[in-house]
Amino acid sequence: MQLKAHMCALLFVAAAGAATAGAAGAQSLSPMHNSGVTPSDIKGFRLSVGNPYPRRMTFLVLPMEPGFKTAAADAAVDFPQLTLAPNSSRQVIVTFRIEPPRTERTIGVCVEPRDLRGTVLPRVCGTYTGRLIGVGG
Amino acid sequence: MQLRGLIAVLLLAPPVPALAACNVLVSTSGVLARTGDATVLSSESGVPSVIVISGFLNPSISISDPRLESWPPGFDWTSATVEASYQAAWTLGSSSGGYSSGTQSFSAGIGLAVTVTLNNRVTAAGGFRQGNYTTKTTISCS
Amino acid sequence: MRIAAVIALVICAAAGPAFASTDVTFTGTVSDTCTLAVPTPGIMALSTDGTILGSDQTLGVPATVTVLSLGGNTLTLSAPTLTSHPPGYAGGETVQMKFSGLASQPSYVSTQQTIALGLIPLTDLIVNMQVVNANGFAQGDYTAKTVLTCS
Repeated sequence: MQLKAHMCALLFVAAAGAATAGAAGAQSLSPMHNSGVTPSDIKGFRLSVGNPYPRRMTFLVLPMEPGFKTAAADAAVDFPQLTLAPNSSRQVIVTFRIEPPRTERTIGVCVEPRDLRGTVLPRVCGTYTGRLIGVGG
Repeated sequence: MQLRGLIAVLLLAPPVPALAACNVLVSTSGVLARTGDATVLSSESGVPSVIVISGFLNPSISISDPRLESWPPGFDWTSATVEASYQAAWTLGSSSGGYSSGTQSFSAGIGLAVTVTLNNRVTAAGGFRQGNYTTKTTISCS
Repeated sequence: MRIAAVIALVICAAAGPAFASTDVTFTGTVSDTCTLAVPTPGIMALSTDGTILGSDQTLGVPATVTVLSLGGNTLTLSAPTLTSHPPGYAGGETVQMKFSGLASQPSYVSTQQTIALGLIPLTDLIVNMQVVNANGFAQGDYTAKTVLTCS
């Protein structure tokens, strides 16, 4: 009985594996770091998200706190979900608010494939710093 | 007597440039970009510089001192090599030189202008840190 | 005529050399880039004694990650976790990973791992994953995962 359960579990795992076999994901993000000033309390950066491999892929572009563990508040991406043709890239704009009394804020942006199964979830993440004009160097 | 006086004045006067002075005009500034090799930045992957030299008959042109002018903090500039290459063309003639960190010279023939396409290349075995890079090369004619 | 010729000769003799020199400037901006690809996602299979689900078991397949790094980037593998399991599974597992290739962690670990990248051409990182539970596994699908971040 135990052996049958084990064999069934093995078959299920193998089946799940077969369903995911062949799926692949790849992405790139550039630049991975940037900083700049803003005259208002909103700062924006233009980033390039790439799909450098010969397969059509859909990616999630996620504003995160700098540790890349939690989503960033008061931050948005103009295209939070991107489908890219093989070997192509697209620019996205990420914007975030610098709430007073803060004069500087750093956020992260992570790009990860939307539909990738398997034991590894790949993400490329960058950090971007905005400063109010007239503050700092 | 008047003629001798005039000649004396002219000989004693300070020298003046020849009426056909050598003019060097940078028509297009160069842009460096990454190449397929992550240890090389080159204007061949970006935009070559185009220089037009005019106003002189049979000029002697030299391309010298390719150098790194600015780089981002943390970049090991001492290990970087900067080189220049050129292709020049004028009426009924041309000249070219491969990448070199030294001086390259050529004489152009008779013509209204010499067009020089100049490339710069920076090689750094450790790669390049994120940031802005500037190189310069001196071009002279006489 | 002779006077004009003499004057022209004197002027030419008095003229100095012509010389012009200028610096030609090239500018460029380098951006850090990191590219990750997962050509092989990884498959876990059950051990013969039923207590380990792992990619290095028979019929299991390790995940392959292809990494390209231009710049001073860092690769972080989060502590692996069991992200899905069938109903009736009681828990009590330990999830572990090890890797080789681009960097080496030869023995299974349960904690976050960090790899410093510099200028890395296209290089593979092979990741093995296992879920260990002495009480065995209920029938159904299981997914264990580590989040691999290049930053």
